[in-house]
Amino acid sequence: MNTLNTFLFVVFPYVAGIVFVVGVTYRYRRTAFTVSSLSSQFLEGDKLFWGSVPFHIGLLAVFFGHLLAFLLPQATLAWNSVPVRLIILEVSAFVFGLSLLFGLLSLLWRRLTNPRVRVVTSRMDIAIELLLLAQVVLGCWVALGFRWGSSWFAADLTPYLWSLLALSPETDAVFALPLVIRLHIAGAFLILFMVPFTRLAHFVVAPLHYLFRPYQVVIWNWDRKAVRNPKEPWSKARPKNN
Amino acid sequence: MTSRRRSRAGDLKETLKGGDARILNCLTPHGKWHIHSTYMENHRMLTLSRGCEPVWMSEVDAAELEIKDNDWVEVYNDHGVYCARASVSARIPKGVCIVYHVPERTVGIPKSQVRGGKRAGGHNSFTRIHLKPNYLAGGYGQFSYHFNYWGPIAPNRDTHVIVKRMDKVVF
Amino acid sequence: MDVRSQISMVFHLDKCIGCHTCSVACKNIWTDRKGAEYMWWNNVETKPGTGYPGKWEDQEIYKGGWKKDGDKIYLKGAGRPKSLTNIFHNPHLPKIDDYYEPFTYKYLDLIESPAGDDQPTARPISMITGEPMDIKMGPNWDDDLSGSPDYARNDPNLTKLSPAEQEAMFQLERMAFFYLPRICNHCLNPACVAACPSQAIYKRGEDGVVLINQNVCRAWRMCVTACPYKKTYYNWNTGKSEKCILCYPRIESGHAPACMHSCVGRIRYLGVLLYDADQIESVASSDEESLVDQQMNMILDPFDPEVIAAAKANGVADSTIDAAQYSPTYKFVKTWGLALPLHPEFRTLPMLFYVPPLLPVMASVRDVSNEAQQEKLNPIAKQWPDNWLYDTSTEEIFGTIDQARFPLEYMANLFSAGDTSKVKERIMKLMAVRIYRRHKTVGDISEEKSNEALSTAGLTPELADAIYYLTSLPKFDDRFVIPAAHREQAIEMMEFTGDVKGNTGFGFKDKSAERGS
Repeated sequence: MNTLNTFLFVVFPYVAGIVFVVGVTYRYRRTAFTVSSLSSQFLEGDKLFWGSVPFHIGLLAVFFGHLLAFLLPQATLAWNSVPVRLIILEVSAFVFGLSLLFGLLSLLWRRLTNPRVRVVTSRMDIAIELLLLAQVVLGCWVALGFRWGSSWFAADLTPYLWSLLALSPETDAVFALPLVIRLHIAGAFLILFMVPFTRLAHFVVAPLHYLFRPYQVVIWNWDRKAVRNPKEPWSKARPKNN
Repeated sequence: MTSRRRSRAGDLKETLKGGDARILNCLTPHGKWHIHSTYMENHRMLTLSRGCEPVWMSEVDAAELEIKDNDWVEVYNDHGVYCARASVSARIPKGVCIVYHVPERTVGIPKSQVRGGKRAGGHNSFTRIHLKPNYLAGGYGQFSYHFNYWGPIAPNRDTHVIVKRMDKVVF
Repeated sequence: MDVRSQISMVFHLDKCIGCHTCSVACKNIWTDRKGAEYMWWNNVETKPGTGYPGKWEDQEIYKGGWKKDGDKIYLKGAGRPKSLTNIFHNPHLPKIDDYYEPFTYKYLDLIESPAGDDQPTARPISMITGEPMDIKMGPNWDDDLSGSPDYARNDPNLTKLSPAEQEAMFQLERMAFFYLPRICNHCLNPACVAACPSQAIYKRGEDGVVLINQNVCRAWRMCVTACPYKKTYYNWNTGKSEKCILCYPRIESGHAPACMHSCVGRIRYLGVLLYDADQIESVASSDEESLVDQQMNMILDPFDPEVIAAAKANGVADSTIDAAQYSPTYKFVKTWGLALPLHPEFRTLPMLFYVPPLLPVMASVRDVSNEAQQEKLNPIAKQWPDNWLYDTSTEEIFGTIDQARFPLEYMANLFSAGDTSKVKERIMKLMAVRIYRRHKTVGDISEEKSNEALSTAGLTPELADAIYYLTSLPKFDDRFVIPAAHREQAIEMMEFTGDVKGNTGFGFKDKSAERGS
C-alpha cells in the first residue's frame, strides 16, 4: 500500500508534470497542426450548447477555485473563518461542479448518440471524457462527503503540492487522507499526464492574446526593402518565417 | 381532334389518370451539362445538379398537385416511368415538365410505385422511339447500346406524361 | 502614403454562362478531401436566389462583416469580446445543413448486389456518416432558378423592392436571371482576419492574398461567422478552417488560378492594384453612400510618378509596378469605371469586382393597346393580356435602362449598397459600347446616335474600342497579368540561400554554416 501511495503521490506527479510540459511543447512545436479544439459545433450545434457551455464554465470555475486555494491558502482560510462565507464558497463551488457534471454528461451523451459527431470521435475522446467524468464524480463526492473541502485543501493539500514543487515531497498528510480523496488527487495527475495525448491540449493555446493584438494581420514573408538595399553586398536580412 | 389531342391519346391510351395527377407535356432537352457524351452521372456533376436528374415543373402545376420543391414524383405514360425529384421553378410554363437527358437508372433511381415496384427507367423509357430510317442506313443502329435500351436513339423527345407525387420511396 | 500591391480580380457577369467549370476545377484541385467535400471555395450562384450557404447575404442571420457605430466600425458577430465569450458555443456559426450534407452513392451495390428480379441502383449516402440519406440541399441547389418559390423569391436582395417589382421579376417569359460566381474577395479589411482569436489568418503583404495558417488555427470558428461572404469554411474532419488561397502556388509560378484558367466564358480577369494602406480604416468606416467611391479612391494610379516612388520606397518590386500598369483589373475598375465590389456595405473592402450584367437584353415595358403590340411585333408573337409592350428596340438610347428586366434597385443592392446611380452609370457605359459596336459592325445605328451614346456615357470611341477588345477578344496574357513572384527571392522564404553559399554538395540541412567562435 505504501509503495502504491509513494508511486501515486511522489513519483507519478513528477512523471505527469514532465510529460505534460515536454509533451505539450513537443506537440506544439512539431505537430502544431494537431493542436485544435476540434470543435464539432459545425456538425451539431444545439445539443452542444447544453453541454459545452455548462461544462466549460463549470470547469473554469472549479479549476480556478482549486488554483486559488493552492496559491492563497491563508486568504482562503481567512475567508472561511466566517461560517456564512464558507457556506457561500462551498455552495457556489458545488453548483459549478454540478454544472460541470451536467455539461460533461450531456457532451458524452451527444458524442455517443449523434451519428455525425460519432464520425469525428476517436477512442481517446471517449477515454478522456470518461476519465473527466470519473474525476468530476469523485470531486462532487468529496465535496459532499468530506466537509469542508476548501478549508482542508488549503490546510493539508496546499503544503503537499508546494512541497512537490519544492522537490522535497511531504506526503504524510496525503497518505492519511480517505481513499476517495486520494483517488481524486491521483486522477488530477492522470489528467495532467494525458493532456499532450488528447484534445485537452487546446486549453494550453487559449487565445487570450487576441485581446492585445490589432485586428488586421499582415505578414511579409520577405523584407523587400532590405532586398533592395544596393549598398549591402551580403544581405543579412532573413525571411520572417525562416 | 387536334393534333395535340391525338398525340396525347397516343401516349396515354392505357394509362389512366388517377388520384392527384396531372397530364403534362414532357420535353427532354439537353441540360447545360449534357452535351451528348458529357453525361452527368459522375459524383461531381450529380453534386451540382441536386443529386439526381430532376423533373422541372411549373410552380403553378406543382401548387395544384401539392408538390413541393424536392418532392419525389413519378412521371409515366403508356411507355414507361421515370422517378425523380421535382424541381419547382418559375421558369417552366404551366402544362410543361422537363427531364434533361440522359438520367441513368443505375444512380439513385427508386422503384416505381405505379408500376408494381419495378425499378423506374430514364427519360427514354417514356419517350416513344420513332425509328428514323436513316439511323439504320448502312449501319447496325439497332444493335447499338444506349442507357437502358438497345436500339437507335429516339428522335422524338416530346410526349405527354402523367405526373404524380410518389407515395413512398423504395430503393 | 503606404503603397501596397494587391492581386485583384474582375468578373464580367455578362459573359458568365453558369457552367460551374470554375467550381469543378477548384474542387478537383483543392477540396476533394474528407471534411472539405462540402466546401466550394469557388461557387456559382443564380441570382435571384438564396445562394450557398442559404441566404448568406442576410447578416441578420449570420452576423457577418462590419457594422458602423458612430465613427467606428465593429465586427458584427465576432471580435473582442464576442469571439472569446462565444468561444464555447458560437451562436452565429452556420451549420453543415446551412451549406449541404455532402453525399455520394453506394456504387458498389451495383456490382455486389445479390441476384434479384430488378436492376440494382446506387443509393445516395452521406459522406459524413456513410448512412443512406435524403438529399435536401446542394452547393447550387437553386441553380437556374430551380425551386424558385422556395429560393429565388427569398433572395435577401429583394427585400427593398416593392411587391409589384418582385412579382414582375418572376413573370414567365419576362423574368431574367444571371449567374454570380464567387470566390474569396481577399479583402483589404478582412473580417475573418480580425475575428480570428488565434491570429491564424493573415494577409500576405506581398500580394494581399488572405490565408489561414493551418498550424495556428485552433477551430475557434469565428472566421466562419465573421466573413460576410461565407468564404471561410470549417473542415469538420481536421478541425481547421480553410478558404480560397487564390491558387497562390500557381500565381507564384506565373499561372492563373485554376478557376480563372478554366473559365469557359472567359469572364475572369486578374491583375495588380496598388492601393494606399493608410486609408483602409478611414475608408472602411466611411458613410454607406460614399463607401464605393472611397474604395475606388484608395486604389492608386500606377502611372503617377509619386505613387511609383512611394511603391518603390515600400519595397514593391519593379515587375509588380509594371504589372500594375498593364493590369486589366485597373482598367475595369478605375480607368473605365465599369466594375463594382459585391456588397460594399459589409465594409470589408473586397478586392473582387464585378461588371454588372446587361440583362439579358435591355427592354422596356410599356402600357399600350393590343393594336400597338400587333403593329410592333410579328403577328404570330405572343400577345400579353395586360397590353404591355415588351420593347427591345434601340430607338431610345438609354430609355430602357430604368425599366430593365432586372430592376436597377436589385443590382444596386448587390453591387453598390443600394445606390442605383452607380450601377446605372456602369450599365450605360456597357450599353454605349454595344451601340457603338453595332454602329461599326451592323451599321443600322447612325454615327450621330452612336456618338451621342458614347458621350452621354462619358466614353470616347478609343475607350469603347479598348473596352470592346478587353471584353470580347482578349488573349490569355491580357486577362491575367500576374506579377513575377521572384522565385529567386521566394526560395529564400523557405531557405536562406546565404546559409548554403560557398558550401559544397548539398549544404547543411538544419544548422546554418555560421563562422565558429
